Amino acid sequence: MSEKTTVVRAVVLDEDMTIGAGQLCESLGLDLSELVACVQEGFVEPFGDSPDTWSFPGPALKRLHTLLRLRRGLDIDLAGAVLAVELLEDITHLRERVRALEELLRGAP
Amino acid sequence: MKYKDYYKIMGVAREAGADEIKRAYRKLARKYHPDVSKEPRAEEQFKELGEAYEVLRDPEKRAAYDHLGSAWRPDQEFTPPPDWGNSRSGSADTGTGYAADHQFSDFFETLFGHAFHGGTGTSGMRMRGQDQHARITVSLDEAYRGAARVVQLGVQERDARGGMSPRSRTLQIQIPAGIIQGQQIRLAGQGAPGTGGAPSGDLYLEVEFEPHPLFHPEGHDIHLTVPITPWEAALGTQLTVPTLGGKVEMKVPAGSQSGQRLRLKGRGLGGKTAGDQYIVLQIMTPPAGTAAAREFYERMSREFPFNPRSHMGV
Repeated sequence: MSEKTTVVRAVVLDEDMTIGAGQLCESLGLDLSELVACVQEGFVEPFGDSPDTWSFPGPALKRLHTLLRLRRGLDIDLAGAVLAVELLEDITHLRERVRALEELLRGAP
Repeated sequence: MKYKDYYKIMGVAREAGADEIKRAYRKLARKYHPDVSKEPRAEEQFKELGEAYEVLRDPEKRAAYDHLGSAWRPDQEFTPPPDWGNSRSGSADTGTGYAADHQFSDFFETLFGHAFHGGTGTSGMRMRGQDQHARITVSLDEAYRGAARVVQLGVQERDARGGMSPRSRTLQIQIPAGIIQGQQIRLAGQGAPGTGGAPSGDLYLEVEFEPHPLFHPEGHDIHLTVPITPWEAALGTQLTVPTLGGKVEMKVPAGSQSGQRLRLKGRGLGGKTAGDQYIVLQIMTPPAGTAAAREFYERMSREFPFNPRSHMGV
């Protein structure tokens, strides 16, 4: 077993970078038709006019990945999974807020 | 290798019907799905559940599993019976994708290994490696400045015979400045290797922040509670406060109150548009610990006709 260190550059999947539809599908094991359904559902918003020229903001990958895990793991339909992801995002945001506010209330020692 | 009691994992009796097994799976899947669950071992439990369901929902696998008998205890040391493998057919199972993301246990692999694994007959086929997903914990300082981090990855790699074997890899990752909690970073070509000369998949790491004793991040913004004295609040002052980028001077206006929020623009986590740092003032009351201090407070109570509860009508 060889032990060598590989130096790699990380790319942040933020709003400033985009991922093409093809790469997104390949990465997620998704058919283009499924991606189209996600766009029609208003879950992710592409740049570009037609599916073959679509690109998506970086965070779309994580959202779609969560969506697919929920669909596959819980066997729920697309609309249900979209709702679940959006609620989960709200919960995450609220938890973050609550934690920040609790810290502020606790304040200095 | 440890024996796994799939019936116990799913909380059903050995004679449970297919419907009951499906119901149990659905219920537990919602409970342990890692995206939904707050259980500490959710990921592990969801994996176990997926594996148990993979066996119990499939009459052929279930029959083979039942054939082992019911005398086994969970986690008991297990070796397959000597006749194992002769009695079952090698029929392929295309799978439902329920457990597609998961690696099964050695127990599962031994019992239902390659012959049962349909859809993996990829030998000779050119196929890009799968993307892999993991988490990485970084400190706020690393997020602010960017950092080089060395991480060890335990990976399953396909060997020459098409089986999976564990290996560890060391990666040095250049973490870009300005990442925030929950964001993903992509390491191109660091996922699972491809087959037939096809390229490797990518590795995605989800960023998690280590808790910081002073700063509390929220997206790109940073919150910090700063204690001040009552006279600093009343008279106004110039304070030195810590930020991720170092100390800065900040003006506290006269007549400030506890809980009041001040903004240090652009002092949060970076990115195209840097976040802000919010300062929440917290007025600290000096203790009336000495006779002189007591006397001072008493004089204040006489000379300050101040009722903070007047709006309550009391």
